Amino acid sequence: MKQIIFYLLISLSHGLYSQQIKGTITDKNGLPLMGASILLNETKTGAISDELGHFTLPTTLKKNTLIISAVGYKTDTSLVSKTENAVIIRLNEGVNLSDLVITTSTPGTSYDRKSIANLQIITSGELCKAACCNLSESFETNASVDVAYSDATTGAKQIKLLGLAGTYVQMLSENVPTLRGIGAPYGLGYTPGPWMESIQISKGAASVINGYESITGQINVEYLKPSNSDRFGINIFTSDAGRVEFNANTAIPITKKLSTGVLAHVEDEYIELDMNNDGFMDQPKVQQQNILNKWQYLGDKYMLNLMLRFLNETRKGGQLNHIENPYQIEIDSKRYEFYAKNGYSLNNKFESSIGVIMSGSFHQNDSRFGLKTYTGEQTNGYINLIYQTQLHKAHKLSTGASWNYDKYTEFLNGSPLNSTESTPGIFGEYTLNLKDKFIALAGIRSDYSSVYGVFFTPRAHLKFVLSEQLNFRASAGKGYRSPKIIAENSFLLAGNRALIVANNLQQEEAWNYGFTTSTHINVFKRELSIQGEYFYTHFINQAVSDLDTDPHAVLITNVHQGAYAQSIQIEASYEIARGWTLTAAHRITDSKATIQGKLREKPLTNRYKSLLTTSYQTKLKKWQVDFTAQFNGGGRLPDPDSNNPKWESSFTPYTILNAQLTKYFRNGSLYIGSENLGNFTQKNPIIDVTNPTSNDFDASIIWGPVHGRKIYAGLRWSLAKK
Amino acid sequence: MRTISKKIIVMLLLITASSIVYSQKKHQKEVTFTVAMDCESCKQKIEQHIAFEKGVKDMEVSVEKQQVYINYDSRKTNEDKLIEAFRKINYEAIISNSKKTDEKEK
Repeated sequence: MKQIIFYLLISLSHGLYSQQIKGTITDKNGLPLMGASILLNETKTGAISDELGHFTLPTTLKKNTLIISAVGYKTDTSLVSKTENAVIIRLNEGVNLSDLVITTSTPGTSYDRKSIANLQIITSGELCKAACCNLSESFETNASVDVAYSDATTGAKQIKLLGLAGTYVQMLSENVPTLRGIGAPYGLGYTPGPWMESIQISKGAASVINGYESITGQINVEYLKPSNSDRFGINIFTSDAGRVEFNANTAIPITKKLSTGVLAHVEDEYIELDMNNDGFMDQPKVQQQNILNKWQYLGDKYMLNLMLRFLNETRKGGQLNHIENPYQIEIDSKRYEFYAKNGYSLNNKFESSIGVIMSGSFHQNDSRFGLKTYTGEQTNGYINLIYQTQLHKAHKLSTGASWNYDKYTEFLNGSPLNSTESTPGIFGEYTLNLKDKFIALAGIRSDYSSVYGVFFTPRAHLKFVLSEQLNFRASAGKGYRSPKIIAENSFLLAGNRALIVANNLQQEEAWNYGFTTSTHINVFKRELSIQGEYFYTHFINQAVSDLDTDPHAVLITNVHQGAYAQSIQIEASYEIARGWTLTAAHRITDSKATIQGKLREKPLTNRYKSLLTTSYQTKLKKWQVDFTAQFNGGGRLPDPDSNNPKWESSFTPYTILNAQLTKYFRNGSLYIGSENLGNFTQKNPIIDVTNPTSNDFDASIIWGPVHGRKIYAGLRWSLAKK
Repeated sequence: MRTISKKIIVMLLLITASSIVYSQKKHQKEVTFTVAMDCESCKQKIEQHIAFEKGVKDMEVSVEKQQVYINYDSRKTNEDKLIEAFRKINYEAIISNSKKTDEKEK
């Protein structure tokens, strides 16, 4: 089949009068071929086919000889007479490609094969597989990220990645650091599910461009973009736990280059829910109003992304209202936030560009936990200048400077705890890419903190692509954090466990090392992906929360040596039959901290987690069924009072099941589902719950769900982009 | 006797079932369009809209190959109507090869 095939299509209309040859270049299957060069031999004029394979060549001759060439294809010569107005020329491949795998559906979560880092992408399709009211619920079908309650009363949730708390993960929204400090404890609830276009989870040492703060990884959220999202969309959600939610999004093109969009979210949890009859609400009543406005300007050389956002949230929890003199919790938060991302392309042969990122936020938290009070205000300003240039095909260089400013004005039970930190820094990062087969990245930054002085952050990545089926990645890097104990852990004020913070807590400092291997093999003509990974985090200094030494207090102290966390995970995904995908994963976590000189297992941390998630879509994707089973391992509990133990010394494994059915329509979908189908709950999540004035009253011994089976339903409707 | 009559019933059932399948198959046609699309969201948009066109029985969209394969009921729709459906969502579809062309339209 090496001969050249071409055939001609004669247009009946104005063919005779045309002064040009129009045509389409395709491959042997009739697929349009972009970038093929077409030379008209007689006139020596040429053209390049566009993305549809189309080309136009002016001619006045009767007979024309076209020479068509394209990379990877045999060069073809074709005689065309001027009267033939639309020619289709098929090119034969010059290289035989092995048989392709049959079309498979894209799994909603995938590991980026091109990225140098261990990067996992969760698409909006995956987010639609579960209720996904907000970011905290977006990881239910994900093996890498755990989301756990911070305490049993406030509803605050935190991410756990690689066996460590969420504070060691750098949160980014559209690659701008966000939700640091006071915004952190309830921050996962601030990003509504329907606003998100995708989530990227990058495990291990991250790029130095976004700062020194990431230790176990980065989680980045991309919002819907005005330039390519639906003109209008709404989402209504309700659950039997007394939650109603309304989301709306719109994208308005103003000119060809300028567009704007508004994302709005309102939620109300209006029921005092107490399924375990302990007199305390299982989850607080949350009311949230959240609005975000984006502007996007996409010029030829200049690009701007501007985001403005306002959030108002009230959480009311604690004892039920009918109880006499109830223990009440109220947390009011207000957040004002903006960022502006400017990109200038210098349009030179080095593809150089300059990026200027500016962001700012003002966050207010006004909380009351029984008789304890906490008010905090955080002002943050951030600038990052990045210069990128491609010195050569194989060499890329990024360099720049940043400045971060944080001002905290806090009052704990009326006494002030003010602090300011200003951190300017510089960074450089170099990437060597040898034909995508070997990629090495090395970055370093140096920052000066007005509180902790000068420090260096080296980070490096390596990637070997042995074949299309097999690749290896390795990473190593350092990360730092300035602990803001009360701001980041204000939920610890719930209950009567005393909060004792050591004076002069130092900057947290840790190394993270990671190895990842992934393989993609064809099994029965479908791709089986297997990913194995190992990560090790070693602390040089950690602010450890010690719940063991005193059963009535949490001691937060500097620990200089010993604290580490290691996790090993294996994940396999496969499309069993068309439309039916299965992912299975297992992870073992070993996290230890030095407590009173002894290296001990970190309490309230699951020793393992297995995940089984399966999804079936009918042929035309009109119906979809999703099912997820999480098998969570047991773990250690903080030491109870030895004279009068109020809780066990460990917790046992438990299983959480989720299921959802979705019916798609042309312009939307209807879904119904259940979280925690097996109705598993932690018995007695609050210690000495009937006696909120006693010394034993404690909400911090939390390891499982407080709320049982939840049934929900929702509707999505959108008006597609024109 | 009983077993024979049972066998006959089963055979009759099989014949009717297969003829139903055959008569349905008779009207099923396949077509592959070349459609320029550059992203996953284009794929989603095409899947979402074309799936709900009358007569569409099955489809597969490949961004990599820039192709949309459609299996349809020729009594309910035809290639021109499908091209028109693509046009409505701003995609130009070109027939790249029709597999079952032995049956003439109308």
